[in-house]
Amino acid sequence: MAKTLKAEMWDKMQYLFRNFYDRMVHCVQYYDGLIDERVLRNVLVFTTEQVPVLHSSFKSNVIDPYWEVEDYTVNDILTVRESVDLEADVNAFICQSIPVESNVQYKMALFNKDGKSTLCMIVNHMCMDGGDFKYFMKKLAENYNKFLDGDRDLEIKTGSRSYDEVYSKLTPEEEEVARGLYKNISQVKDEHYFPLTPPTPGDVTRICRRKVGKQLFADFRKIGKNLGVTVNDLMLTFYVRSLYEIGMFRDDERLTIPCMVDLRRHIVDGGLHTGLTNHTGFMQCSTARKGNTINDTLIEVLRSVRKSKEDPYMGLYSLPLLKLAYTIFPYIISEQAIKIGYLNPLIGMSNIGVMDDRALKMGDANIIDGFMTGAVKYKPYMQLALTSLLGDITMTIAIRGNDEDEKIVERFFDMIIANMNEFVRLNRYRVDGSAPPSGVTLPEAAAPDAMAADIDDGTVTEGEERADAAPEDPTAE
Amino acid sequence: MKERFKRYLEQQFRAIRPTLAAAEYREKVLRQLMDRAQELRIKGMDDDDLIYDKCIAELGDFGATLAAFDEEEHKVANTKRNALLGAVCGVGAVLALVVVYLIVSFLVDNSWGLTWLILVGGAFLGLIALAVVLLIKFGKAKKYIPMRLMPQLVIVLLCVYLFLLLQLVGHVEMAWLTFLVMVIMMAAFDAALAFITDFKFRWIELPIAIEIVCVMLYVIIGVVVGSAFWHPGWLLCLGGVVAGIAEAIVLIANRNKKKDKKEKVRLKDKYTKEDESYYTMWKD
Repeated sequence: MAKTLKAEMWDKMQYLFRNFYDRMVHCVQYYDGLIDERVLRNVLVFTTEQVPVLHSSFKSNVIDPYWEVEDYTVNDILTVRESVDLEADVNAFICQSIPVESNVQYKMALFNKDGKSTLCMIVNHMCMDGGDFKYFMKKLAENYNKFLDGDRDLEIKTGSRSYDEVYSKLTPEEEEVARGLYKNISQVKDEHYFPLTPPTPGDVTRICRRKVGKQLFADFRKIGKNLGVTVNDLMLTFYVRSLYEIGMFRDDERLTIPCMVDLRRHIVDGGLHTGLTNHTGFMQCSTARKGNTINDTLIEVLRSVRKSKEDPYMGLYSLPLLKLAYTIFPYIISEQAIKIGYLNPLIGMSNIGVMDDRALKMGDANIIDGFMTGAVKYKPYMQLALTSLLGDITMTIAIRGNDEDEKIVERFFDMIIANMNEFVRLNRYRVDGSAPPSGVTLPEAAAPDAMAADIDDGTVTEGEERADAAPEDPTAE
Repeated sequence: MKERFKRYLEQQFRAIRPTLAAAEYREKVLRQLMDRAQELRIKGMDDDDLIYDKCIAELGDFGATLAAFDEEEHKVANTKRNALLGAVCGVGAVLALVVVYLIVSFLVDNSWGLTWLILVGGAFLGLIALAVVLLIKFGKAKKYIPMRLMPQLVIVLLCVYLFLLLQLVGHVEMAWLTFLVMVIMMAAFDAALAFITDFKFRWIELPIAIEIVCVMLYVIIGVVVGSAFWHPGWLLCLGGVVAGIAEAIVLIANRNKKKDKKEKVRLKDKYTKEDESYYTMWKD
């Protein structure tokens, strides 16, 4: 009889999200040297053996779904190829989707070209989220390096995948409160959507990406540090303002955007001893108006984000409600019940955070570029994902669309970059001592409390990077 | 690889007694290790050191496994002995019972119509003994639902036998009341066990049990005392409802009391505890 694994609450939730996106999480890492295929194969088999869910197929049983552990070989996971057109190969690989019935739930490709390797990976979101994906890639590199050094004591975490690990760091009193947070926070009726074209059968998966540029990133981070705001707050500000612009929303319209939150902040040791799984919630960022300048938008964002950051139970709302639904009903009914109550946000943002270049080094091969991104959304849903590496930020928007949609996304990236430049132009005087541009709104003067609240409040969203981290240290979180 | 596994197992198995069973077990573990190594190779792992480490790691705390195996060997032998002893004792008891039954039947005139009660009593006693053993076993294993079924079985057997004795031997007129008493005992015992085992719904079960006891008492007293009791004796049937309401009041009061106490402590800490260091201390 085949070995089975319990389908945890988040596995089922992510399965439900198949209606909104392709359930894949993606990562691409470019190296300046070659990665040893043999070592990688050994490390991958070790990792896959340690984490059974990675070589299991999902059985959508009407009463209680489960994972069935499957046989596999490393060839089911890893593809190694000499590449002629690297970008075409990378795109073709990351734009595929792994069916839940597959015997493996993640795939990796190693493309070699001109003595350099590019490592690509896609994984079923039901198995892990961005937080654990980053951990997975770090451990892969760590185990690879250990293996090269002759050390066979490889490791990867294998703890519980249960959702209620999120309560492990709370006191019993706090846990009691958190387990009673039945409020459905998805029920925020924001009908703003990203202006993509209507869905057509010809739509294909596209992972659009744009780099911010090291200089621009360094500039606005420095200003952010001066103002005491995080990079996440700044990115949210640029994003929100650009959405007002591309969506042509009225300036006084309220715009609510969910921002993904890594719930591992509530887990003992930041989730280092749980199993690979999802621990993501979201906080709402709701701006009442666009504001005259980018600084005004920043104040709006800070006012909203501050409320969430002050909440000790940030991201923990709705979990008891979901648990209750999955407990009292058979799966087929609970899925319908949750579908009725859950409103998938039309627009979202996920800051996956810093990819640690030192931790991702594989042997002598240094990482020189890369990004991670979330699932490919089906229209009209859309999400901006951010990763930073080597002092630069990569913005990605993964959608299923046509050429026109891609042009719209590219135009949107242009707007974000323009807003970043505008922010730097308006605030450069704060860090270089020059005179402020005429007509500038001073955030401190306009809302001193809004700015002060975010100084060193110690809270970060999923993978959030603090603006006050030293610019020379791109890995600082 | 095989030689490495053998060396490892030889070393590990020195910790337990060199029995034939241990030798067989060692062979079995070696086969398992070799199968696993082969599987890992097929999956794509080709580094012998990594395969060896992984296979050995998957054995877990093998020292403890071996110790448990050794102990189990003892246990199996003891269990076999105990089972044999139990079987012999059981057969002996049955034979003794049959002998007593025959002796009494032959010695006492016209007793064949009643002496079968000796055999039934013996059988019931055997079942009761078995139920008590299972009760203890389930209790130790914390399997409370099957555990709670055992006293019910004992009560039913005792009451049935008591009824047979009263009816057939004592010719008691209202012997059937035993069955009403049986229901009372079953409800009361189960409620008590619900509290002993911290059953989740014990506070729901309690008023139900009280209601059952009250209704049964009402019927028993009504039957024994006569028509004078039926009214206003029916008020007794409200016992469960009254108990339920009283229980809810007590539970709510206790909960509020606990909450108040917590809140008081919190407020006391917040507003009365003097801590001058706060003048210069900040959370950041």
